[in-house]
Amino acid sequence: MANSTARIPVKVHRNVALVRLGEPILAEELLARKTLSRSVLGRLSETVLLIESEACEAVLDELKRMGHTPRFVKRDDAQRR
Amino acid sequence: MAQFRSRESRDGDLAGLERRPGPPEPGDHSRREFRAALVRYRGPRLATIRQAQGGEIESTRPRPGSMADEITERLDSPAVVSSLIERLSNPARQALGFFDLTELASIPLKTLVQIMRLLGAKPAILLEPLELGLLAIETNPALPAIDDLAFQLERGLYAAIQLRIHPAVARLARTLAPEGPPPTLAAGVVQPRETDGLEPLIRLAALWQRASADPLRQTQSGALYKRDRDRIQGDAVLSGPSSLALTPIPEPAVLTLALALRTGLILMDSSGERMVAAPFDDWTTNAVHLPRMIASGWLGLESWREFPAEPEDLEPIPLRLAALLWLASLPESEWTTLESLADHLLAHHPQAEPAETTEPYAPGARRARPRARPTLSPVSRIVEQLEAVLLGSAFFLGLVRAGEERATGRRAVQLTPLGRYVLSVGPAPTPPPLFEQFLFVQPNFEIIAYRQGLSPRLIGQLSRFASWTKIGSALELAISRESVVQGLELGETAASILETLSNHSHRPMPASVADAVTSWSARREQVTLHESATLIEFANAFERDQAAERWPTGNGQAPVPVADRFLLVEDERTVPFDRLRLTSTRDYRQPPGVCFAVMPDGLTVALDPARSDLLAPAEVVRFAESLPPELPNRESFRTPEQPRYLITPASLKSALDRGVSPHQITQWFERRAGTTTPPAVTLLLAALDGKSPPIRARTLIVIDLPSAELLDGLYQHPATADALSERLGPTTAAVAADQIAPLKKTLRDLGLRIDIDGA
Repeated sequence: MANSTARIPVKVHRNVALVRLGEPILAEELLARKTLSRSVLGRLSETVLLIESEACEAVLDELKRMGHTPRFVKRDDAQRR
Repeated sequence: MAQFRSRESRDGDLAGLERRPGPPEPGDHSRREFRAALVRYRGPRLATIRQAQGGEIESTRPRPGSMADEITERLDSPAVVSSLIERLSNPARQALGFFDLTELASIPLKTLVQIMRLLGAKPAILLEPLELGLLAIETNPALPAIDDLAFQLERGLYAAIQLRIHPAVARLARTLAPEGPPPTLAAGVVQPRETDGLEPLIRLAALWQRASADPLRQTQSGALYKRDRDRIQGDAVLSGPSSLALTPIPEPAVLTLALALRTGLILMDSSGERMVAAPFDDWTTNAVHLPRMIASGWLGLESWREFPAEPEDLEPIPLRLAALLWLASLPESEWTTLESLADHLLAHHPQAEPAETTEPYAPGARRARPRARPTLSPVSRIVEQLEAVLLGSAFFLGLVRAGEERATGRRAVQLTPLGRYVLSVGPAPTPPPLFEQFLFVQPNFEIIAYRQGLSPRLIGQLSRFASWTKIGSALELAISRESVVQGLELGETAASILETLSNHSHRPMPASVADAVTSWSARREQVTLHESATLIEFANAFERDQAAERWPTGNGQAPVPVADRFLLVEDERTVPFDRLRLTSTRDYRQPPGVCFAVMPDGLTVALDPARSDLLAPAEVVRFAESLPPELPNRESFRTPEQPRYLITPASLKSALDRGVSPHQITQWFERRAGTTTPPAVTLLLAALDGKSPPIRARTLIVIDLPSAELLDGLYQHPATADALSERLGPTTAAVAADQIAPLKKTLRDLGLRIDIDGA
């Protein structure tokens, strides 16, 4: 039986650029968009797309062009919070 | 207010479009500039200053650099600065106060001299703070080193000399009102009027909203691009005339932009070409300081002026400072007329002033005093200028109260509590009682706001999610999807927006507004773009869920479960590492590392889990197929822990169809496998390319000789060389089928025999 107080082994991935979506269909929508799919490096799950960190601003602009109003969590925001 | 200019961060360069205003000047920059000014002094002069400050000089030949360091460092001590300021005469302390009042770190000497003359002080008094090193002379670096301070003061009237203050001195300098106030009114004043001082804040907030939505761009010469200039000048809120000012304010949009730059509400970005909105987070917390910051910004503003520049006129900065300081010298309840104030200024200003000259400066030669000439305009012109300054901008900013002299009907003025506070002759003004319910939220998303309920803090709060659309006695705002999204980006929530509106509304919130705000907010939560998230990877879903349950609460945002084994954390500082055991970390800002091994078949790549990262599996499946662990292995090289991926013609074709190029695949192998593209993969790529020449099949006969030397002989001998094809090994060579008979004959002629299998 596992000890509930034991420290759980983890691997930490820092400074990951990703888009988190509310529904899988939104991920499909994004992947179908050529300008966006170029910046997508992979799909971590049905609703999480890994993207190139250099392409964040371009992805943001493209999401806005698609009519989305994405929440953008910037590096500074995360560090300041 | 961290992002806005604090009283400690003074801008050495007057903000102005034509001057390409820079970002606010932080204290350390100002300190460096002060030291840089001192370095241009001669060593002995610096030694004298050092001694005047109470320091000892050890070297007989003091070096300017080290002496400038010592003086600058000594002034870092508030106790030292206080004791040095105490040694100054009142007029000299007053001169330091100009820096305090305008929040400028460096002021042109000509401007300082004009202010002092208007206040009845002798400019030579500036020698006092110069000799104690509290101020430093800034000159053109190409000019000779500074030695004679008195001479520099005199020369400064003709050349572009500035006086710079040490930041610690600026912090301790206090504004002093001059002695001998202008005549007060005996008959009293009727119809006293003053503004609430909120309109400049609302205009600044509106400009911030415009710049936040679309930054303003600047040309190389420092002017706004035409599109942006038209946008600002065509904006009814920014360019509309103030309904409050008693004298029209010229170019209100330019004034607003200049004040926004001086207060740090609008910043130049790092490229120096775009003006962007400063972070707005702290507006509501620090809004109470904004009226004073705006007043200081206006007092030191050179790029915008209340009246057109005429050669004989006073400059705006000296006139603003002198007029307000004279008003500050009045008892709190007393008034004076503009005419009395103009007379008072004329009485103190000298009747002659050196004319400007462009003659080159001759080092070592003292300039003869120039011909005296009258410089002041008639009283009526001074009154006109005072009207523009006091009844226009100062009244607009809420610094001055205006009325009419009972007996004559002439305009009379006095400082408001805010004006007295800014001039350091009164306490911070008591906020007026506010009406809590001052908003009318209408179903068409427009909001009417009555200014009696507004405060600087509430202006900031409303500006976060509603756009200012009209300024007058009643104010109008509009709610739109864009404005609400902006509010959400600033940290508001649908609930907080609706709460703010409800708390200050007369009537219940229209359902259409509440529904729209909630819907816009929910839609935004559907897509979140993380620029730099932290993902905690667990061995399995059970451990992930266990960690999530034990995650400390009340320590920022809760982690979000992602995929099967991950927790997404926005701020890594909230991760309870004391409950987790860190096995490895990967920083995705660093270049990717090698984590794949190419198997002997050249088509299978195995991922090393210990060196893997999140992107590795995602990258490889773009051109390879994942092999399930239970799949029978074609070879024996797989270890169970290593996920494997097989490159097949189909997977490669799919990759090429999706836009992955062969070059990208080559780069991937170099980056991720530390090797060149395996030949087997190159073979598949060549097959898919379709442009490779066909593979030719032909019949060859292999001849095998007893020794390499004999084969060398066959290749060298002219009778046999032409019959041979490529050499296959040290002793073997290929011969085309049609050449075997001639070769056999030639060898026979040479006395050699050849046996052919089956022949």
